[in-house]
Amino acid sequence: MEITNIKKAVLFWGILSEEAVIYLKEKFHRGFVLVNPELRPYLLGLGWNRDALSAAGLEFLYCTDNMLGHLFYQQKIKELLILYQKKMDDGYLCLSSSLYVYELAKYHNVDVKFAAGTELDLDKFSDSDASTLAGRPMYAESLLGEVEKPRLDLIKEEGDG
Amino acid sequence: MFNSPLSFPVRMQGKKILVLDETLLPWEEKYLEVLNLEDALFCLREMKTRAFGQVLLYFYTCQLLEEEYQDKSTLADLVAKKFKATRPTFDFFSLSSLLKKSLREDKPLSEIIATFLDGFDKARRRRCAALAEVLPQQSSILTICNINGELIYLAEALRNLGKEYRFYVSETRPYLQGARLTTWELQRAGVNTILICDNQVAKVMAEKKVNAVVCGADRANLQGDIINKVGTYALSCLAGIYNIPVYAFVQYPYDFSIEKVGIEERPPQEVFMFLENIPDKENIEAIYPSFDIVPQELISGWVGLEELRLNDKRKWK
Repeated sequence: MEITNIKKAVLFWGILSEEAVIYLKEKFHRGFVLVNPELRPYLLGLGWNRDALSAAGLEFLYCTDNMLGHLFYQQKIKELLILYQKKMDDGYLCLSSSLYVYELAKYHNVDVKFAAGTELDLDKFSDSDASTLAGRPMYAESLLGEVEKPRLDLIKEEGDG
Repeated sequence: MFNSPLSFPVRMQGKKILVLDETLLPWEEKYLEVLNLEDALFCLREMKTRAFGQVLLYFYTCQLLEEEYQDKSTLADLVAKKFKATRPTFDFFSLSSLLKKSLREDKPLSEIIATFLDGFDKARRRRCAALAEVLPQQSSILTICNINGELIYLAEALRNLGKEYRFYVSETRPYLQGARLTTWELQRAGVNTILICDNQVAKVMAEKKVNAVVCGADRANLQGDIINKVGTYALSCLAGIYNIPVYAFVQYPYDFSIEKVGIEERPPQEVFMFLENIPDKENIEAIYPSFDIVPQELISGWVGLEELRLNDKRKWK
């Protein structure tokens, strides 16, 4: 699919749950393209989330995380669904990368909704940071330096979604 | 300080061009031989080189074909046309214009190009020195993709000023130029470097771990809009939100409407580079815009080859 052919899309971010898939199914049948991002370092877009969408018979559009800014700029994304790990008193505990899409959505006046995702042990993924991709080291071992490891983070939601 | 092979990833050796195959880095440092125009176009098409490498490849391809063309202006335009058809986002005609302005009947192309590139490299070092002047005493710089050795020039300039520095590098999916090239060249040079996933940039900004963003630009217009590796737009938006300045290295800006430039969409299967083990990926529908647009209002300063121009109209101060 060429980007110009995307009329309206919903972006989701986090670990899909059955409830979230049902929500996305409704969006899909209303003509939304489901944007399934790669979600580094865990590659959820090619693993867990891909499997969840395929099991529900839902087609999706895959892209890497850094391409999402371009989709926001082109006004293709009409809604962001963030899948949290835990609801807290003052916000949502999410994958720490959620801030990336949350801020971009707010900047582009895109509607943000929160829903419960599936709780998974992040340590079970072969990639825990940017130093590997699908288990493969991404730079020469002799030059292995510092790598920032992502975990969970609190997003304080402004207004309820 | 260590000089990165990426500072000059393409070079001339006798009657052939040697192109550093950037797709193999950091695991293997291998040079491809280019003997004709088709070889050069192959290197472009297959992303064996990019950024400054494609500039070098353009000039050296003209040099390689010099004997076959009586009229050097025709040659410069022909190579630009072929290159542009292969990589539409980059404006190779600005290079042919530059070359045509420098043509002299009594001088071979090799001499003209060598003089030009020497001047270009000196200008790159000068602009890094100029940028170093405006960066903080303790600089923590976030960058994306790869700027062909210029961050090493920048680190050197910061050190000469007695400033401290470290670099956060966004991995830059799907080709991973940040992880494979920038992290590689900076760490080889002994520069403190921290690698992050592309989606971690907001997090490090929110935690005040970075105080400047420095990026390259494949194209820039006179108004200050740029086109750069996909991800630069998101980085620039987020930097604005967190009140962090964004400096873009630009070369030869000219008058064009940014919105009229077609953003190159690469074959979707290329997003799976380095993901050979993902099952049934041929059936995944994907997109791959390889660049994005950053409007002028998101940029704090343009680091040109002749001057550093600060933006007094940035959306955020």
